[in-house]
Amino acid sequence: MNTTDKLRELLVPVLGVASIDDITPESALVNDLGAESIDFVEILYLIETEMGVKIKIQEIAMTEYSSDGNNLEDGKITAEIAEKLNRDFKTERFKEGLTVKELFETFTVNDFAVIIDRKSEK
Amino acid sequence: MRFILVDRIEELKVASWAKGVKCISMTDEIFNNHFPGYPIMPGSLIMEGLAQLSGVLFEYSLITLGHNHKRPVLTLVNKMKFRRFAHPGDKLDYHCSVKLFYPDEYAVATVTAKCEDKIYAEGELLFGFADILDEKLIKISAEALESVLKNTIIVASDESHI
Repeated sequence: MNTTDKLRELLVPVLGVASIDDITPESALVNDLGAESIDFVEILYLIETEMGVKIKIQEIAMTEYSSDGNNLEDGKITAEIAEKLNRDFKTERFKEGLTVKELFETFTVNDFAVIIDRKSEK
Repeated sequence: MRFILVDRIEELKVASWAKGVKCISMTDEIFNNHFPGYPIMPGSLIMEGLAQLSGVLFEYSLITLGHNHKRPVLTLVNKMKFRRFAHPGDKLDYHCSVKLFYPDEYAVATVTAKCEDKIYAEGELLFGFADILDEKLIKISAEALESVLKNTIIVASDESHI
């Protein structure tokens, strides 16, 4: 089973959805699945115990891409960072002008799997 | 009733473990209804006492280790089992052992409640850490923590686990 599917399975009881089909790889944890900050504690713990990978909440909040002032203009990500995000997460959905809050709210199951894979390779 | 469900925190070792005591008394109003003529301490309240003990341990550990004063919030109860009925007259020994402690993120404690060395309840509790935004509330929390640890022996970090 690949990381995305394993993650979808783990998320079912935490997010209280009826079936694994309600969680697609493109679902955003906060915006689509209604995850609250308190849920992330449980999710991160489950990933650590079930998959043996320690993920920090900062990684999900994408602070790596937004904490440096040069990456932001008026609190929004620059075109350069959007491009880097698209490259790192193998997607095209990141656009210049996303706020830090929007980055967190639109964080998808796929993005999560990319971080887990990246970490477990190390 | 006062929602303080651990009578005394006896010993504590920062980021490691804590020991507390809960004496169950027939004077507790809970026994009017739980159950009429058959008083047993609700397992949920034993668990809350264990959570309070763990919360104090994590809150004190955060401060002692130089992190911001945050409020540990119970987020998940895992594998909790209630093995025996606790009755008035029982003295429950609560023990909390730190399984994971990430000061910026979350913490996990393994907890047990024993009476005369028999396990009454055991499980695993997960806590998140909530910011206390108001200076006044930080002060109140610090005072509450000080008062609850007034008679507690703080074990030095180089002493071995009990």
